[in-house]
Amino acid sequence: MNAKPGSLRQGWIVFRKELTDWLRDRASMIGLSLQAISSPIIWAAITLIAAHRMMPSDLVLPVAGADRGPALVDWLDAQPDVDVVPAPADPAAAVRAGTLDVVLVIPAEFAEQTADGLSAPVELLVDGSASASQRAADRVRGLVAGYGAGLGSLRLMSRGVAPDLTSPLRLDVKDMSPPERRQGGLNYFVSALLLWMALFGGVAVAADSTLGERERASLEPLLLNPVSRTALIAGKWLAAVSLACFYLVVAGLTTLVVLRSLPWHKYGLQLLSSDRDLLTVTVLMFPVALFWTALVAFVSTIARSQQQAQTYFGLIFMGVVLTAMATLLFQLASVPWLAALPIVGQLTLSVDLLGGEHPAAYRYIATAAGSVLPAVVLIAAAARLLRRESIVFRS
Amino acid sequence: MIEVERLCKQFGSVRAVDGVSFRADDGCVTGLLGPNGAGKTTTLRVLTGLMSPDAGAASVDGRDVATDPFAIQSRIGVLPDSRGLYSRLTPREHIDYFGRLQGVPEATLRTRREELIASLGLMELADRRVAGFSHGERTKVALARALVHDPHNVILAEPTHGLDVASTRAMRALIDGLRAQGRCVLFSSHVMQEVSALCDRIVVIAKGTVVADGTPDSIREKTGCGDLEDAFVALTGLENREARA
Repeated sequence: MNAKPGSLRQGWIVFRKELTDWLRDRASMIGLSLQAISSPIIWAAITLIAAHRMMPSDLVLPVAGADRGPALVDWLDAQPDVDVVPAPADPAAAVRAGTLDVVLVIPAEFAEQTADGLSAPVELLVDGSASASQRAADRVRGLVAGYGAGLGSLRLMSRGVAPDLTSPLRLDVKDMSPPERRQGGLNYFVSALLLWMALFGGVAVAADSTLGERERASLEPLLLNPVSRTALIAGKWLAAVSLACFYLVVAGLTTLVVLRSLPWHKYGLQLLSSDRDLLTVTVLMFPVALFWTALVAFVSTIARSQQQAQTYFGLIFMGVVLTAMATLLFQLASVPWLAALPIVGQLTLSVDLLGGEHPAAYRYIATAAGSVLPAVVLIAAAARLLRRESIVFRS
Repeated sequence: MIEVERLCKQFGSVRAVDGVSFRADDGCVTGLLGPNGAGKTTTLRVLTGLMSPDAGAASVDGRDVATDPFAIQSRIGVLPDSRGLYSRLTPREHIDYFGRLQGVPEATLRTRREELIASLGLMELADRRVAGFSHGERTKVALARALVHDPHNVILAEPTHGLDVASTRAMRALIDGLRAQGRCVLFSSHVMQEVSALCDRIVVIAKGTVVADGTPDSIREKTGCGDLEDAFVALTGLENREARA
């Protein structure tokens, strides 16, 4: 008779078999690796393109009736980053069609009213529904106001009045925010990205733990072996955790490379935390993988079918997303017990750490414990359930 | 040796097994016969420790199944109705996985695995992933992993189901071999020729109870039917059912 191996050894046997099995699943290996590598790259590309578009560029300003206000046109043209060009024959149509963002129209009475010292009209044709047109309009508004203010000052001086008399107040705006808060949300994006990988890297393996075995009709033969249910579920769970952590590390390293190699500073974006902080965040997410795969394994034990399991996951995931959003939106990170909430705790801690803050030590302990303990409870519960006939032969 | 005594098992209002008793001796092939839904599968699941009985007892080699299911599971090898395999693993890996879970030492496992692969004619397929295997090939892999720990008692559900002629003959030879080695073989089947050719003793179950128990000859004699299939139909009340239909 053979010696029954201990639970630990059995768990190791199951773990090894699961890893061998899943590492051969080329499609999901390639799919998840691509996701781990491409997500940070795609996110970085989108962020940089958006930042690039927000950067002030040379304003090409079509002017209709330039000959009616040569002084204004010359002044505009002389401004840095402004390029005055002639407007087309039908400027209104061009703006409406979106071929031009804005057109400055100098009306016939402009020269006369300026000469008479009156408030001379200039028209700006804009498309209120297009953001590019809005941005151009803001700049033209500023330029015209600047020209008008200069002209006004000259008029006052010619009449012997100090221009300062008409501007009794001057508002100086000074940005007091520390540089780490001017990251353009990079800390949020990086945290969410790594959290995503922690959640999804091991789902397929964890979902297979009971439901997959049952649907494949391999659960009954497996349970005919003298194997502790805990060893069985825990072995499968740890295989799922290993894969999730692997993809998480790949995503973390790719993010690091992306953050350090692309010209973020050119666009005023900068993650001020160190490489070490970023790697710390990657490790911080490990307990998320532990918790989430345990939850998936538990749900896969009680669900009757894949569809039913997916419905449960949808509901749970919605709860997680809403809680996380509420936490970030209402700045609830300072509420101590939230640190112990799985996923939410890691997300807020990661956002703060990457935002250049120095979170208190209890938050690290609370986030890890808050995820690992429920994970262990879920796995123990799943193992207990697996002793029930109604679960093993559920259909 | 397998013994089942007044076993009862109920699912909701359905009495799946209602006082089943029988014995399967060492060195004997015992056939468990019965129409669909007669309670065979439930009886086997109780016997293998996967279900607990509501009443009655089952024992293997004198050990009670309910008290120590793990001890029972290392003394029996089961080819259940469910023959699910892991599509990305090879037959060798399947055998190794189950062998290790049963605690077979690595050196013994290697020898045992190669013996099983040879005796089941799996040499050509042994290192191929099982995805795409035929039904018969899958059955052989499932059987190999069920026998890897060299169990004294062997329970086979429909062992020749889906096998071609050559494989069926090989399977019969294997069952004969198990008997010759003095093992206790219990198998369920629908194929009457097979049952009459292989079984030393037949237990017929219908509607959760044993309706006949004896050698093929004694059953034929008891029912007055020359043919075992006719005897089976008479015993299980299938005739009445057919007549009603």
